[in-house]
Amino acid sequence: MSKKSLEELFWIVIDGWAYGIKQYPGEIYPELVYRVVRELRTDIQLAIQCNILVDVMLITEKFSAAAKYLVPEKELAFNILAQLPCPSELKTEDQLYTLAQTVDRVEQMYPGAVVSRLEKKWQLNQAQAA
Amino acid sequence: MVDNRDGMESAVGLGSGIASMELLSTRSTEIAPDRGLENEVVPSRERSDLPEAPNLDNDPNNEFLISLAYHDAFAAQRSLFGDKEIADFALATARKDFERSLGIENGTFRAQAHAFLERS
Repeated sequence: MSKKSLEELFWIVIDGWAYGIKQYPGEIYPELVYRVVRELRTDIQLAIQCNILVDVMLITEKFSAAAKYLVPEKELAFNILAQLPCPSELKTEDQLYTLAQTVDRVEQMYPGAVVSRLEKKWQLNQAQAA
Repeated sequence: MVDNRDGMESAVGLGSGIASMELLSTRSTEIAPDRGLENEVVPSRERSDLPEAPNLDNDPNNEFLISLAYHDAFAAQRSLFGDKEIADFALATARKDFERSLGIENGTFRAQAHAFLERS
């Protein structure tokens, strides 16, 4: 399977979850959407490892619309960011570059709020792992 | 430390829901793969009260009857869960419906991504 096909599959997964949120029969609440985001952790990490750019803002937009804008977008975007792999878990320059690009797009949206928090989180993760 | 206001607190203890989600996804296949959810209040029942799918292979109406029996089992099952689990169940079922409509199976991306990584 080519990287392009893999990328298409990744977005089918995202669309599938957006569909699930949209079709949810009860009232949408933030924790429900965050639970879905946590479920996506493995998929997001695999996407980065396969050098697929994870467009956090696009995922945010899709989930936010599916949740009828009942979840704060910034909160949602940062929850998705929190699922990104720690740089120390990545093996190649390409993977690190993909991660950097992914983070950079969100940094452009929320200047000064992203990189410093992610670095703290990754340091915390490494300290816990040690 | 982490700033809770931005939702980064969810980074701690990640993945705890995945196992239960997979369990619930499996459950949705076993119980009622194509049933929607309804919001009526279901009285509590004991697990042993869950009806089993009847053997109606020779009954011309079996599909209808089985769906009724499954619906009943599903309704009873619902009473055993809290709201959060029901939400997961609903999402997992809806997602499966979506993926099935596209002709792919749950987990396709993960399987293909692992294969891609092994090759590269």
